[in-house]
Amino acid sequence: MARSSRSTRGRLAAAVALGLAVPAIAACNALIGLDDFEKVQCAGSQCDDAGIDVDSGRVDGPNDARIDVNDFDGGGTEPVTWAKWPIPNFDGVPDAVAPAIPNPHSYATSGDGRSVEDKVTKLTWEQAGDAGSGASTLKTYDEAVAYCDALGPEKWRVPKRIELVTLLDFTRNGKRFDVAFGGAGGNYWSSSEKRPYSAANPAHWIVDFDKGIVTGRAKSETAFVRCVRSQ
Amino acid sequence: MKLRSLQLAVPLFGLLVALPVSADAPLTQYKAFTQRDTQIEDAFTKLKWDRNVFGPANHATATTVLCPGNNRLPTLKELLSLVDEDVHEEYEGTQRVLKAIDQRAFPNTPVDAPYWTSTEEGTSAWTVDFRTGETQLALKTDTRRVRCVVP
Repeated sequence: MARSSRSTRGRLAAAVALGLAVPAIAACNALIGLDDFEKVQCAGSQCDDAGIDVDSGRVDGPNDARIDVNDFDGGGTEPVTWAKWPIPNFDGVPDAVAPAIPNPHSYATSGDGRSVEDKVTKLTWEQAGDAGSGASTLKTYDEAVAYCDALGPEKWRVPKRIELVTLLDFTRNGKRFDVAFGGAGGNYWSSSEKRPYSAANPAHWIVDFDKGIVTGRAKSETAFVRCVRSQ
Repeated sequence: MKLRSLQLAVPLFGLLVALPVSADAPLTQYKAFTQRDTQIEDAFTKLKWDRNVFGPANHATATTVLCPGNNRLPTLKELLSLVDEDVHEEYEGTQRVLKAIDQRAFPNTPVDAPYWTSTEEGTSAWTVDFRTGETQLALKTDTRRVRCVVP
């Protein structure tokens, strides 16, 4: 049965109208739906009605939280690093009834005593320090950078905070590195700036391998360093 | 056929234009999520995080009641992967509060207490403070916030 041309035009018009209306509705819905954006975090607690100040672009969230994303500048110039690999875990005796913790530690030494490869993150680490018998000497941050630069023909560098964190081994006390590593316990430098960053008193993240503390330290103070290189 | 694909394409374009964007983590860090999702999956660590925050509660409650079944508390190292080194500010009431977590994936994260992990030290357990990203030991009987890893 042939369709009349009038009916086809009508259907075309309807389709175009729908095609234009839906994004308009979607746009309004996304704006109104910002209420729900805030409410995601409100499970189990009171959430005030969210409102949007169209002039300033501020979004009033639950409990009058307002998000000003552009006002605050944490400072610093180093790019921040996010984990680009699974996190190696071996956090001590697992509770038999709890779900298994994934990605157990796995390391491979290079055989020449120079480097250890983490099979989970694929990062390659300096195996032992520069002071003999597995220990290293204390360095300011800039000295640590120079040390890693000069370590060898490969591109060694001071690790980022989250890279260094992956080395913590909580099955051990007092020197929380896997047995594959030499080196003393103590504080180790990262290249990650501690923010809010102050140019007057610049600080970087350090990891304390005696205990497992992750905190900041002024660049002019000293700590150990364990260099890393990516593949 | 052409008509149908036009019907599909125009509203999809409209939705794309309408989505708000403000991210601290790189846009590839977390798998695509919508405003209403209750879970966030980290594309690299492969961990799935509950977007809901519980507590404050003690460590035992956190482990068995708040993260039950196949849910679990994160290990300290896993929770540290959520820390955004580039801290941002949010208002809570009239207070400006610093937060060290991705704002788009985890909006309005309460930072009034550090967050429990499953990494224990005898009578204490490790926590992460999301105002700064630093770690702290806390007695297991103290109360802290809870964010679970989901299977």
